[in-house]
Amino acid sequence: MTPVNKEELSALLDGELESKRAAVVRAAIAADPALHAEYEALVRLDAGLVGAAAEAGFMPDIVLAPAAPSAPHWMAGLAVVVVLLGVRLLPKLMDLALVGVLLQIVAAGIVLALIMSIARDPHAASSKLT
Amino acid sequence: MKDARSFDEVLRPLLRRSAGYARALLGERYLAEDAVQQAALRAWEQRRQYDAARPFKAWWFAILRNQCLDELRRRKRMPGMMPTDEVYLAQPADEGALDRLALATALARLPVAHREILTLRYYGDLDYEELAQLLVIPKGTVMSRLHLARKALAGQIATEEV
Repeated sequence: MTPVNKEELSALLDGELESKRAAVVRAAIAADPALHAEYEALVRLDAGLVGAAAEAGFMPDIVLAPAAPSAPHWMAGLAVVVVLLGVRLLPKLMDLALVGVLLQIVAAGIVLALIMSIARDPHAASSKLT
Repeated sequence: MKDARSFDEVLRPLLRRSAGYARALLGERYLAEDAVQQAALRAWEQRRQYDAARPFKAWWFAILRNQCLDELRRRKRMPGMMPTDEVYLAQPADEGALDRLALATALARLPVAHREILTLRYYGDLDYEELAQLLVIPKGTVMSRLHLARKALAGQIATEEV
């Protein structure tokens, strides 16, 4: 049997030993009063640290992550390109001036929405933790 | 973890421990809260760099640890383990609370390497695998460092009790 390393007392305490090795270390602790006393001291220290850590913890009141924009900017850009192409091509295809005017209005609206979307602070719509 | 919802789901359960860890390093509750806030924003910005094959907790605590160390460097003061806000000092509830205060004082006086691994282990609740990832050391080294740190802490407490 491999002799018990003192560091394995810590690993046993932390639940980090494989089950077979943990059994060996437990048996060694039971058989050796000095090892037993050392392990008990580690257990008491561990309990104190666990308690101190639990007391220190608190739920912070923070913003976790910016909310995702409703649509990616590249999609808005693509929409603008499509509409602008439509403005140029559709009137020629259909020979209707009214269609061109309507499409220009739509294009202006989309460009305006895109500018407003980009200008908006990305953190403004963030979700707040409670 | 590409969208805000999945980011929230993985990070939210770690926040209480994260705040406690930051508080242990920075001393003040408001500093800890600010550090967690800044780390969360940094993690969000760097989320595409996260390797899903590795523990998220270790990745997150590496960011938080750096944030806390940045804050400590900025303030040019030594990290204090003893909490200084009124909640902690005004009303020790029982004998155990007094013991924990002595423990915190002893912890604050340990060398940085010992204090660091103990705060990550207890306040951050990181296991050996996560500690190994975060500190970039083998698990066996984590075991020996933790044991040395515990022995040093026990020695420090004994010294102060004399």
